[in-house]
Amino acid sequence: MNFTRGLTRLQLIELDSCVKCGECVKWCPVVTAKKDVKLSPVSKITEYRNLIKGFSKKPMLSELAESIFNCTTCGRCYEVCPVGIRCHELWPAIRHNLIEMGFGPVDKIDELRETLKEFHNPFGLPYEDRNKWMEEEFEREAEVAIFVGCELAYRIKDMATGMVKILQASGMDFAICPDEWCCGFPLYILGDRSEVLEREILHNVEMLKKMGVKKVVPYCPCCYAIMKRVWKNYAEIPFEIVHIFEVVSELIKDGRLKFTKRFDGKVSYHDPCYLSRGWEYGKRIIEEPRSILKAIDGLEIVELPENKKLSRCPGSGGGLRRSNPELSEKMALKFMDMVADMDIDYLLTGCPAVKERLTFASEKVEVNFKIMDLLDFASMFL
Amino acid sequence: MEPWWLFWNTPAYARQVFFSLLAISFLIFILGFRRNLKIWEKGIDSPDDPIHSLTSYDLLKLSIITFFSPECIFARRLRRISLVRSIILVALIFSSILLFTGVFLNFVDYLLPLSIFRGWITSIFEIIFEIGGFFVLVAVIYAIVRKMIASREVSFVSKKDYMPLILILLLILSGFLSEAIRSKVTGISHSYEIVGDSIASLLPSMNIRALRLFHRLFWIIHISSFLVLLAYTPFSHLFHVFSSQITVYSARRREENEFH
Repeated sequence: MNFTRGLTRLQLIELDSCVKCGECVKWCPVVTAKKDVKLSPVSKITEYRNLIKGFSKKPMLSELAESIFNCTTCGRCYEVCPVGIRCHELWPAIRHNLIEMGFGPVDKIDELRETLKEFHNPFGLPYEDRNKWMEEEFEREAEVAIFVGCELAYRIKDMATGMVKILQASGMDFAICPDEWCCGFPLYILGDRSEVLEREILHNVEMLKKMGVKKVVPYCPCCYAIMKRVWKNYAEIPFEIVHIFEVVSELIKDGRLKFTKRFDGKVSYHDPCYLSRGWEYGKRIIEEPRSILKAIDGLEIVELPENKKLSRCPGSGGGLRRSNPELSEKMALKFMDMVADMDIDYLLTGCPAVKERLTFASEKVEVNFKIMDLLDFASMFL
Repeated sequence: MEPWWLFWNTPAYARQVFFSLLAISFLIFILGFRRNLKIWEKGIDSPDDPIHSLTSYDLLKLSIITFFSPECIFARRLRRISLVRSIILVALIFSSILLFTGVFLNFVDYLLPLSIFRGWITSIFEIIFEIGGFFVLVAVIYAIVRKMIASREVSFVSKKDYMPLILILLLILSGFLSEAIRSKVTGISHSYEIVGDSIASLLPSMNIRALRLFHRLFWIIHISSFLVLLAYTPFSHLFHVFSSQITVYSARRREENEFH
């Protein structure tokens, strides 16, 4: 068994760099929810390093695989790691190795691959229903294309409609991708590097090239992360990738977008992991969503106890909802415990997966606030 | 004071034994280090990584150079999490550098011999050894206690993790004790040898023969712990002293890219 396969040199150095200080244990939302230190980054790093170096007497690969898939790749451990180990990058590479060896949730990944192959979305919903959320056609020539993403197109449609309302109000000229496929994130993060992943990415790149756009704007942080970080490994990217929050905050700054209604209330904003921590090489998008909210008169932002670079994942990322839904639910409930008593009117987010998790948790834990998407919320004050 | 006090109170053959064991220990260290570098070489040379296209030799150079970068030497990433721990780490880093430099220069002086260690130069190095040794002692005891507290709750602390810390603890304690005995037996002491002199004053009134015997015991512990630590480092998680600078450097480079 070749445990180094697929890992970069820096990742192998990272495995040697862990000082076993245990700081990541305190901050890992999976450990907080499950109360099992074996799931902590330090335990997994130690185990995998021992495998590579041949120090493990009895390698428990199925156990190790289970713990490596039990991670939301939120990257909070990187922020607190004194030596800067990037587990959110390390695990997808190790997951690939493990599934090739037949360990981990192989059946679920096979199923996902087949679903994407047929429907081009991870939910197995009809492709022809993809753009049904739109109230009007946006198939036109423009320099800016909105990459909607599967979650917004099929499930969290209010995010998509809210975004469109905001952009329309600013008078910005934009198009919506007519023939969008999955961005590839659900497969990539679970370690799959098959032809299906490549096909989904290449289709999207070719479609955007044909549209002749200069700028592609995703909303879903997972789409944004993979587009920025991974797409360039598969094809040449002749367009700029910019997150919708950057675009909207710029429109406000330029005076092209104004909110005319007041909101005399308090809101909290949950920073999506892949935005606030940049998911490597990406820009940290922390101030932009706050600047959008600050543009609404009367609104007061109440920061969450764990926010910005150190925001807590409520169990939505890293393929965890698919690989271990029970743990993902536990994390969502733990998150809700943290915020349930807050004196706010709305808890906002910019991630469809987070919104779905928080909505689920709010049905189990009594809360006095509403959960909404940030742009959908902002569109009420146009 | 003898110019090379490391071998005070040791029989002549002890030097041959020490140098033979040092050669073996160093060889194991080199082989272990090489093995780790070979594992690194198996990794993909990703163009996205800040260490892209660097050879193993370049990485080694980078590890040494970046060790002295403000990011590493002032433990900046750790300071973001805990000021106390970063201060302890900085003290440990500086003390280790001083101790290592002192021992290395003394070693060179003995082998060539350059006769550098005379008069005030010796006094300066003695002060450095005193302060450096004291800080390393405090830092290691802190690390052991912290690990013991952590091990009550978490499973990632294994018995093997204590090994390098215990070796360093033995190295420093036996160093202080053997130096204190030497000071008591020879009657040569200095007011600035705070730790060594304090220990010497606490030593019971034994006859010279007994003190010399104890000195030899501590000397053997001192030398053995150093040799074992040297050979063990590439096989333990203490190897991070060579690898973590590279990840800290990469993290800083990524953050620079991010904001520019």
